[in-house]
Amino acid sequence: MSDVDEIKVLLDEWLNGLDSGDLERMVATCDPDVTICNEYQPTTIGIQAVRDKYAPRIAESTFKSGFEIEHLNVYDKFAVLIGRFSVVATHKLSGNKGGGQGRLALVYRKHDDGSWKMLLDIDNNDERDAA
Amino acid sequence: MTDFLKDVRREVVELHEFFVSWFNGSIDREELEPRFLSHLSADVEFISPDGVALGREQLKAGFEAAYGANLDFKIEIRDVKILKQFGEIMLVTYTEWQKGARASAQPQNARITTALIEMGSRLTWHHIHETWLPESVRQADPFAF
Repeated sequence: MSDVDEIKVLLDEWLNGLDSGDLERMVATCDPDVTICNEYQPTTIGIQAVRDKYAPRIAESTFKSGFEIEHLNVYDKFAVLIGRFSVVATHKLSGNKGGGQGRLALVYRKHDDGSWKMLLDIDNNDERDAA
Repeated sequence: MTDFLKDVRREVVELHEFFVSWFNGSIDREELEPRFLSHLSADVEFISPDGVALGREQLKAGFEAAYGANLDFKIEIRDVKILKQFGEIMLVTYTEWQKGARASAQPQNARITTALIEMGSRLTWHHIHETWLPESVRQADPFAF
């Protein structure tokens, strides 16, 4: 499988993990030093921080996510994937829907065993009230 | 890593000093290419905090149009870090603090930037992505620069 195809599989794993409420499937795609820079939120580093961020969300809601890849460039042992994301979150108890859409950059790192892992996630939302 | 970090910090700071001079109109227009555009790879993509993606030519056009447009604009760069380095490629982060940013919804704003930068005879920027820092962080800062 090519580097590009492997990275696309990882992206799908993350999205399918979110949509199926399987947090461990999501974090299995992450580098130990994964850095998450979500808009207006504190930057986090490490897999446990991903668990801490997503566990309450998955406990509370179900998700339906989408992703459209705009660019995927491989630079030796780094790869940058840029795309547009969308996610619909449905609260398990109330049924209320939320979510958002925007642009996202993911940086992947190739490990010595040839596997790729997500090292960075930075995003912006399309619509945001002035905070 | 330390020597690389020194180089990267200088690159980031000098680039943003150029931005301020450019938007202040205090630097010659001829400096756009050597001080900024020549630092970008041909396929560079910049994503603004509003999620707008711009390529090299769009950045060039935007800068040319905004020359001297804001005399009060200031930037402070903080927290330059190299998150990872493999060979000549580095994943870099820093925070950028702006005041007098009339084109932004918040004239005093704060963003975190991630960049993929390649070492060589000079530093080359391949990818730049900015997103807003938490509002509580922005509000707590005195913007004393």
